[in-house]
Amino acid sequence: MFSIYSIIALFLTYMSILFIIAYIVDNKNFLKSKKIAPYIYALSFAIYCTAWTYYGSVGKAVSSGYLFLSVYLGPTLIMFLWPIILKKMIRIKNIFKITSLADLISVRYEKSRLIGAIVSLGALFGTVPYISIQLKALITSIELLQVKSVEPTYVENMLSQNVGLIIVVLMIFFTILFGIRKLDPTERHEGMMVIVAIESLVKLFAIIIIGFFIVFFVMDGISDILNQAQKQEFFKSIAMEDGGAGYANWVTILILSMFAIMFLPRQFHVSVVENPNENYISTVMWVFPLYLLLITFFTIPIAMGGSLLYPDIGSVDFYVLTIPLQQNSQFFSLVAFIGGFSASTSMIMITSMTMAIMISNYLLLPLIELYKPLAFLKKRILILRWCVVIVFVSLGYVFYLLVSKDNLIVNIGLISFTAILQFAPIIIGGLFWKGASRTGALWGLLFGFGIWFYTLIIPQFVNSGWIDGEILVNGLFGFWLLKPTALFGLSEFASIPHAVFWTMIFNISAFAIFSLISKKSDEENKIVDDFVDALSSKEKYKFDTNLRDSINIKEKCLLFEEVLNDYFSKQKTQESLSNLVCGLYYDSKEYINILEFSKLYSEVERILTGSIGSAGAHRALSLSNLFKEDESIELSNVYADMLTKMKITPEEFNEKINYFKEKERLLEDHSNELIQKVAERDTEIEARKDAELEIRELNENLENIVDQRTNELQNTNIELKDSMDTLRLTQKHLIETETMANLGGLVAGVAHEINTPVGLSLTGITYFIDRSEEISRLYNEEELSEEEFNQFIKDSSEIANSININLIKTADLVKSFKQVAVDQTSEDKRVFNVYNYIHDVLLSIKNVTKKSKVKINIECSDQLEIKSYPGAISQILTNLVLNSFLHAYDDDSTGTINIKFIVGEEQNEYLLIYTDDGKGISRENLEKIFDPFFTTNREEGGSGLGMSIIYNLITTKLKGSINCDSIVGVGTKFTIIMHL
Amino acid sequence: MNHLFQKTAFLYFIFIFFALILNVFIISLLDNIAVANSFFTIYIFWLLMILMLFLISRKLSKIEIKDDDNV
Repeated sequence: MFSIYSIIALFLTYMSILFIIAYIVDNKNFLKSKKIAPYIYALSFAIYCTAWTYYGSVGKAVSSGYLFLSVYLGPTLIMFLWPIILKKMIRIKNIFKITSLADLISVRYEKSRLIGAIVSLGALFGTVPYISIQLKALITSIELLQVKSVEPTYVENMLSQNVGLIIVVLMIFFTILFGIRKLDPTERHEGMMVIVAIESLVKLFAIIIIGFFIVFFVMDGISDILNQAQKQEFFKSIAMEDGGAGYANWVTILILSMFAIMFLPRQFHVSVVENPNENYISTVMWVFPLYLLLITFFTIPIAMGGSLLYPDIGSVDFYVLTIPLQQNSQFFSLVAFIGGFSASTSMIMITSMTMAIMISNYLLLPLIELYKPLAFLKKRILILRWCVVIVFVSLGYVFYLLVSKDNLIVNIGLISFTAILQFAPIIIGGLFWKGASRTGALWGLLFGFGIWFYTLIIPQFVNSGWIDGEILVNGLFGFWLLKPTALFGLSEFASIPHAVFWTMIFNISAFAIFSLISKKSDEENKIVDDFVDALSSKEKYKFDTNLRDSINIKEKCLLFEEVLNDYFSKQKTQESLSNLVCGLYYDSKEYINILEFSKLYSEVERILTGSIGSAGAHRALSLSNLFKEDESIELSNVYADMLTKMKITPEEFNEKINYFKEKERLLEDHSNELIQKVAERDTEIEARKDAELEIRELNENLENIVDQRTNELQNTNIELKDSMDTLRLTQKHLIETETMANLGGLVAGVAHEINTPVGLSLTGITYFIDRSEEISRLYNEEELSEEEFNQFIKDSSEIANSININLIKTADLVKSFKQVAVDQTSEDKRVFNVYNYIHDVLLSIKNVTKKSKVKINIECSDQLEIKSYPGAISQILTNLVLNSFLHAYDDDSTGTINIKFIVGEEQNEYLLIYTDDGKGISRENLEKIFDPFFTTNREEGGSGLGMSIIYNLITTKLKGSINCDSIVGVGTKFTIIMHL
Repeated sequence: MNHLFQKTAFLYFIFIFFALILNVFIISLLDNIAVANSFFTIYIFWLLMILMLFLISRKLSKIEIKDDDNV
């Protein structure tokens, strides 16, 4: 599907990208972020999921159903104990600067190089097969993915035939580049851990994508696959595994995986050595099991799907890759390849790096120190480690060619797990049992690895044809009890449970028995407490004594330099010592006391431990005679003095230390509780203060806002009140003005009406005066005849009647006008005849109405009397009539105005209905006629107040309502309802 | 709850509890029910363990952070 060139190019590109990321991380303090770092730490644990998980688990699922899950459920179960076990190991790592698994075990057991060497060898035997299955996965996946040309070139042919070697060379190169570029006393590689985390994500996403592809695109879902597999009996039950030994296998693998997750060299490296903060354990506790769940979720469906689709395909281990290839999907094939590639490469790099540290510190350095001609190599530790990586990865390749090529990946992996299990008793014992001793650990390891080799490796050698199969059939030396696969006649178990059972029996027994019967050295006793009580004490005890400053610090530093120069460059040695002396505040001193020197010695040992391991450092300094005889005696005397002053024996001293440690622990616990409570109280008080402050601020703000708003409202109210007063005054003034204008009209009307009768009366009385003077003259001249006198009497009577009539008329007019005028200016209620009053009102405006041809009809009972405000009614009628004459009719037009005053249906309710048949009012003006100052006749002096005054009089004084209906061209109707 | 999760004895108890449930109950169940059902059973059980781990880790992280602050 892909050419060999494309695959190698992909490999190089992917690794180059990872290198760039690692380089950036190493130089930018990327992991200082407390949010990301715990997750990177948690994802680095996923290095547990190698090609075994990615490819091999599918093969195991095909052959043994759910059995493969025990490899992942074991680590999940042991997570419950990580706050105890892992935390303790991390604390110890920080105290003793542990850099590898061999270091941890060696330091615990009297800094024994021999134990370190056995652990390193055991780890080497255990991990080489593991490396081989990673190489197998890489090489096989490349071979599956590669399409060979019909006529390959020489280079193509050469590359295709040597894929394995190319992979080995590239893995060696990248391991050195990523992990062993330089020596670091802490052996921490942040860049590499980020790469491991990234590769963990890549393989997780890859397997999920492939899972989705196979389950939902190639097949019809998980349930469908599993039901079909059950029908066709592809799915194997656990009970049927290995002829009925399935449950034993399950429990065995569960136990193996619990310890593998902690004690596989690579797992120990990422979990303990690379740990930047012990609090990150809490993140790992749930993130890593979740990762395991996700990465294995599609394993069973893929395995069963593969069995259903391609039951006759060659290697079931590689269904993850072969199914997409068989489906001719380039994309999914490539994704599957990258996922498997990520799973293998990160494991090879980390394991090679950790093994390089262990082998160089515990196998090579002791050898170099033994043979003086090799002493120059002490300064070449880095190069030594490179060589170890080359040899280690090459060994893995050789193992692949000889053994793994024809075996299931999982079976090889379990052999490795069993080897690693041999460390578990001495580590767990060393962490929790003060009685565990160096001798016990040594014999436990020897027995454990011996039985492991005999029960698991010998059968592999037989299978590979290296040794005769006789031993499997008849046992060692023909003794049937010594059959490697049925030791002491135990034939019911499969090979792995069988080996685990016997190795643990021998290992634990030897460890316990030899620990109990052997005596621990003083050195070992000192370390035991630090290990077992690692979680209860964080610092060593300090003694305050008045000692003589007798040791020349410069001389001693020169001696330290001599030792360190064997392992570091001169420059680095001087730099390290200078930093150390400054750090201990000895730089200003010329002489130091014996306790201070002892402390300096311990610190130098720690620096050396970082590079050559704890046991190596201890040995190197011990051999250099840094303590002169008199100094050793002085140090012993100081300790003896301390004991004497305390008046106790060393045993009592130990007891007291334990007592005080316990007391300190209790005090510390109590203090922590108190501090916690105080912190909680402080937090609570702070929160309460903040809340109070906030409430106070809110209240203050609220009060300010309320005051401000109140002031604004008060000001507005005052302004409104002023405006209202002004308006009222203005209205009153306008009403008065209007009233006066009406009165003016009334007066004009009065003058006009009484003009004729008064004129007639005046003419009559003038004629009567003239006639009286003439009659008087005739009488004086005695010329008055009787006829003339009679005529005068008759004329006088007629004139008197005429004057009387006109004066009566004038008096009536004045009376009417007077009443109307009084009513218009008076606000009193009185009883009046409605008909007469309407008549009088109309009479008062007759000077206007009589010029027109419009006729006014009154429809009202002449007997109707009401008690009301006649002035208001007068003003209403006057304004309505004058408005009709002004707006509804032209000067020469005819028409009729009807004024109807009737009693309403309710008690004291009266209706005044005013209609005219004039022009009418348009709809838009109709809505505004009661608005003050609205007029269509402003240019001819209209004030726009007439209708507004009517409205106010009706609604306030007469407690009624007014409604206006009008149709343009037909007329207008006002309906006024009054409650008197 | 903080104190309970902090106790070593509780962690040992919960470890043994889940180990027993898995190896005695779940494992025998897997072989006796339909494959599809057993598949979801084991993963739901696994998820429950993760949930418990998550709860313990949350409590532990709070305690540990306070310890660190004190130091």
